Amino acid sequence: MKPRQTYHPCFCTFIPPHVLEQLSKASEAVVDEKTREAARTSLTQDNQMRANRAVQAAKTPKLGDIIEGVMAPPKGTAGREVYSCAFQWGEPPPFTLMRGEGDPLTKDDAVNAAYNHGGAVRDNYKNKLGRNSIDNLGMNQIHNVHFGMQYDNAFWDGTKMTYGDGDGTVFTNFTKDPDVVAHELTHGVTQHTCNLIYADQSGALNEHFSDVFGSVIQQAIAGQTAHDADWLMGDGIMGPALAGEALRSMRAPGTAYDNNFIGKDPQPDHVSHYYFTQWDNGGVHINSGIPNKVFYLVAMDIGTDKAALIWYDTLQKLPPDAMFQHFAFFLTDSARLLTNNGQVPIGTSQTVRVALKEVGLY
Amino acid sequence: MRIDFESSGGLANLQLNYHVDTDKLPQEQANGLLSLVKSSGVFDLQQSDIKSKTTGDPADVFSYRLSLADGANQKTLSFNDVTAPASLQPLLALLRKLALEQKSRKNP
Repeated sequence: MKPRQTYHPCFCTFIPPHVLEQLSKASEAVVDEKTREAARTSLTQDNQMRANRAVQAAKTPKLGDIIEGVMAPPKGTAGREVYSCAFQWGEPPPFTLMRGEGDPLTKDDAVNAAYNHGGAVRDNYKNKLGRNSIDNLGMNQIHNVHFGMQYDNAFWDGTKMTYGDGDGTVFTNFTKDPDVVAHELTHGVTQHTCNLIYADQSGALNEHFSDVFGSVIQQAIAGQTAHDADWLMGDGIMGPALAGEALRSMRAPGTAYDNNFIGKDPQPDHVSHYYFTQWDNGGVHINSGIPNKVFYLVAMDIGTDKAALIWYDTLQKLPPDAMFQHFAFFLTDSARLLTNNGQVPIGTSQTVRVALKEVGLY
Repeated sequence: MRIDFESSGGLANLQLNYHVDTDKLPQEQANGLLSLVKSSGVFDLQQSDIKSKTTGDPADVFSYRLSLADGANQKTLSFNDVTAPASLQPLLALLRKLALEQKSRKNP
């Protein structure tokens, strides 16, 4: 078993630098060596973080600035609009439009990452699934980057994506990983198809479809097949303290992380271990492990792109309050129809049933 | 002041808790927290002021429950990243950070 990481006290940022300085220089009689060493380490990290933030802030225009030559694409053209929140919380509009569709690279890495990954998501949905953007009507993609200070999250708010820069220790910038951007955009796709209610089993399915198309698009960008993919979600946003960890594993739910910062991955890989909780909207990020494993098993058999066709077809049939049993029913139904149409190989219906059986859903 | 903070969800499904009596914190840290409580205006907020701002269900937002008790002055609110007033966000950010620190200390 892998040993847990040794804990070193970290006083990053919430203790003011002058206190850290005093602690680091205090005499042995007042503060023990372990604490002084921790204070010295934190002071170094704190200085580095402040320096990085200053560089980032210098690159990013202030709230409401207008950048010459940068224009939002016309509505309904599936164009990308990347805005900076300029490290502010909430929505005091106007945010600054940093890059519109077709605009050149900026000096801001988060802006460029959101723009590039957003484009890859749009193109994959269009070219492989025939979908015209989030709502299938050419809805523009709106990405808000640099939300707040050290915000450890990215989310879909019903109309757009918002990304934090991460705290720099546990998580880095959330735009960095294409599967995160694809995951968030897919929440929009789900909203505009079957609109799965974001709680309990339908919420777990909502999360599942975002993980599925996050992985599908990540593999497409990397030119991978099901057999060379890592099947990890969010491994690209892990900070130095969690290097090598991930948020979720579709291959082996429950093994993505085990560390002293965020605990142990609670995802089940079988319906008999369904996780009942009042947290996380009834465990939507936890129980998604069960259908995630089904997608992995089917993709390993027929290939990721073929499996994606079945899942995309299923997404359009589910009721908003779908439970896992509905998912299993419509998944096998889609597999059968697509087999009959010749879009997936003969035997796919059986492959899907075997995968569902593996997790207790058939 | 007694502060009870609970947060769950987010893309990473971070489940965080922070429970503290500011009288028992080092002065510097207590002052930092109390100053953010004051600037957030949380005691003036009502649960009915916190409404959904979006057309669809937000996904991957953090969900929060925050309870504060300062003598007779008590407040309990539930909200998420989309519905939280911007004035609360700096306080939430600090509470998340403190909770994460405390979590890592509990699991050496």
